[in-house]
Amino acid sequence: MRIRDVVLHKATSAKIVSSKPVAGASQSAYHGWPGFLSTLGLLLWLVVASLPFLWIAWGSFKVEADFFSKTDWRGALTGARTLAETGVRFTTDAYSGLWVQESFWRHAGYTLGIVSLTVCVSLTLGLLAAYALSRSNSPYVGWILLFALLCRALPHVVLVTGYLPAFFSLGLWGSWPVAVVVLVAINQPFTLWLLYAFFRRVPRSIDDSAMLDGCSQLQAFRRVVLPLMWPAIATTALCSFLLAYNDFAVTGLLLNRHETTIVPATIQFLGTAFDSGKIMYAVAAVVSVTAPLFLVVWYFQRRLVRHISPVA
Amino acid sequence: MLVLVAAPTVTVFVQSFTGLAERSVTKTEICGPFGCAEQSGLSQQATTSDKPARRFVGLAHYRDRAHLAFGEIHHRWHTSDSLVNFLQKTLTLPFYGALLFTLVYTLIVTPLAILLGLWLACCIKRLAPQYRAPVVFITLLPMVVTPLMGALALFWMLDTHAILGTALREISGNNAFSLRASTPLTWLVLIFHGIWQSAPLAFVVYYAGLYTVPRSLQDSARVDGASQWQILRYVTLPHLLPMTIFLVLIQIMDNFRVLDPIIGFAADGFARTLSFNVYADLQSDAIRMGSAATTSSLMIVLLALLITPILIWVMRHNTQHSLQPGLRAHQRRSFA
Repeated sequence: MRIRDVVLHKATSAKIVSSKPVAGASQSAYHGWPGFLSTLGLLLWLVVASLPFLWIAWGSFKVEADFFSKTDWRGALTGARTLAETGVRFTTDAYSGLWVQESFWRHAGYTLGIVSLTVCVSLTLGLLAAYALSRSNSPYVGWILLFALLCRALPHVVLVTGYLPAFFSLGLWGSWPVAVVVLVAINQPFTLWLLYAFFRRVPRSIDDSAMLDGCSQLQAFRRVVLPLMWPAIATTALCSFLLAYNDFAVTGLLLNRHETTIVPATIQFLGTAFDSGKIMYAVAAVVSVTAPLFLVVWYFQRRLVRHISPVA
Repeated sequence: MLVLVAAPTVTVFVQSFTGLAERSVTKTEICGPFGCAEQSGLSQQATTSDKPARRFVGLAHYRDRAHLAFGEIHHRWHTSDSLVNFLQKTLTLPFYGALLFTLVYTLIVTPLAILLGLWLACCIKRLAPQYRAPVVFITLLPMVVTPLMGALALFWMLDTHAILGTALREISGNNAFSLRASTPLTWLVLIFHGIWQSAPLAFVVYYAGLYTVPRSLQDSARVDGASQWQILRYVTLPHLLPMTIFLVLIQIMDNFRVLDPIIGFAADGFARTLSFNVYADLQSDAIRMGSAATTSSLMIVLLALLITPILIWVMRHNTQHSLQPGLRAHQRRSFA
C-alpha cells in the first residue's frame, strides 16, 4: 500500500515527460487503449530507469541506519535517524569521510590519468587504422572488420588472463601503463568500427582533390578529412571514455588497491562493509562516480543517439 | 590491434596447458572446525623470482574438478539413479553451474532487452518533440552509468529492509522474505538487472534506425490498408533487420561476459558466471593462472559456438542484408 503511494508520487513527479500523447505531428500516434497502455508502460519504464539513482542520491545524505532502514523503511525518506544522530536531515558526513578521510581524490586522479590516456591512444590508433581501411581497395577490408568484431567478443577477464604471463615476466604487473594497454586493446575493435563507418561517409573525391592540389596522403588526412570528422571523433571519444571509466574487471584485477581507479575503490568499502560503518562511504562513492556521467550524457545526448547506430 | 588482441588469445590457450612446476607449489594443511583441507599456494621462492617456473601439464586443467571434471561426471553418472538426479549433481560442479547460469542469463536477457528497446524506441518516437529529450536522457541512464554502480544502486533498494525489499515482504506476506535467500530469486533479480541495463543500447540503435525507415514506404502501406501492426511487421522490422543482427551479436557478447552485477549483488553464493570464475581465480592470493586460462579458453570456444551460426546466417544472406553498408560493398567486391 504505502509503497504504491511512493511509486505514484514518483510517477506524478515524472509526469511532465509524457502525459499528452503527441499534439502536432500526431499522424502515427496511438489512440484509445493502445495509446493509454503505451503511455503507462513508458511511465513505468521511466520510474524503473531513474528510481535507483534518485533513491541513492537522496539516501547518500542520510546515515547508515536510515539508508538501510534498520528500524523503519520510512526513515530513508524522512531521515528520522539522521536527525537524531546528526541534528540535521541532510548530512554530508559520508562525502567528507570519503573524499577527505579516505582520500578518494587520489583514486579520482588515477582515474583521470588512465581514462584520458586510454582515450588518446585508442583514438590515435583508431583514426589511422580506420582511415587506412576506408581508403583501401584491398579485398580483405571486410574480413579485417569481421575479425575486429570477433575480437570485441572476447570477455575482458579473458584478455587480462592473456596478458598475465607477458607482464609478469617483464615485471610490469600492477603498474598503470599496463591497465592503459589492456583498456586500449579492449576498446580498439569498437573504435575501429565506429570510425570506419564515419570515414566511409566522407567521400573519397575529397581526398583526391586535396591530393590533386599537391597534398600527400597524410596531409590530405590531416588538413582536409580530419577537420570534417570532429563530430565523429567526439562521439568515438565519448564511447571510449565510457568504456574506460566504467571498467571494473581490468582495473580491479590489474592495479593494487592503493593505486586503483574509483570504481574498484568503491568495492573496497563494501569489503569492509557492515562492521566498520564504512558502507555509507560506498554509497557516497557511487553517487560521486555517477554524477560526472550524468553531466557528460546530458551534454552529449543528442549526438550519442544520432551517431551510435551502425547504419545511421 | 592484431597484436593487442590476438596475442593474448594465443597465450590464454598456451597457459591453459601449463601448470606451475612442482617445486614452486607449496602444500599447506589448514585445519578448521570441519576437518582439514590441503591448500596449495606459490612458494616464497617462486614469488620472489619474477617468473614462476612453469611446465607442460597437457589436459590436466581441463580434466580437473574446477573445469570439465570428467572424473566426477563419470562417478556421478554411475551413482545417480535418474537423469534429473545426475543433472542436479552435475550442476553443483563449479564449471557446469557457472555455465548454466551464464547461458540462461544470455539467452533470456538478449531477446527481452532487444524487444524492450524496440518498444521504447517506437513509443518515444511518437512522443511530442518537447518531451523527447528528457525521456531519452532518462532512458539512457541504465546503460551509461557504470554497470557496477547501477547494480549497487538497484540492489541496495532491494535490500531486505529497504524500500523495495519492504514492499516485497508485504506483498509476499512473509516477513523473512529476502531476494538473496534463494537461487531462483537471485537469478530473477540478476536477469531483471540485465534487461534493465541492456535495453537502452537496443533503444539507441533502434531509435536512430527508425528515422531511416523511408516515410513513403510506410505511407504507401497505410494507403493500401495496412494496420499499425502490419506496417511494423512487414515494413519497419524488415528494414531494421541489419540493426537487429548487429544488436543480437553485441548483446550476446556483452551478456556472456557478465561479471559486475554478480559482484555488486554479492550473488556468488547462488549465481556464478564463467567470468566470475576467472575473476575469482585471478583475485585469489595464489593467482591460479592455469585455471583461469582454462576457463578462459573454454569461454572462447563457447562464444565461438554461440556466434558462428549467426555469422554464417549473415554470410548466406549477404546479398540482401549485412551488418553495415560499407562492409557489404567491400564484401561484394571481394566475393565477385
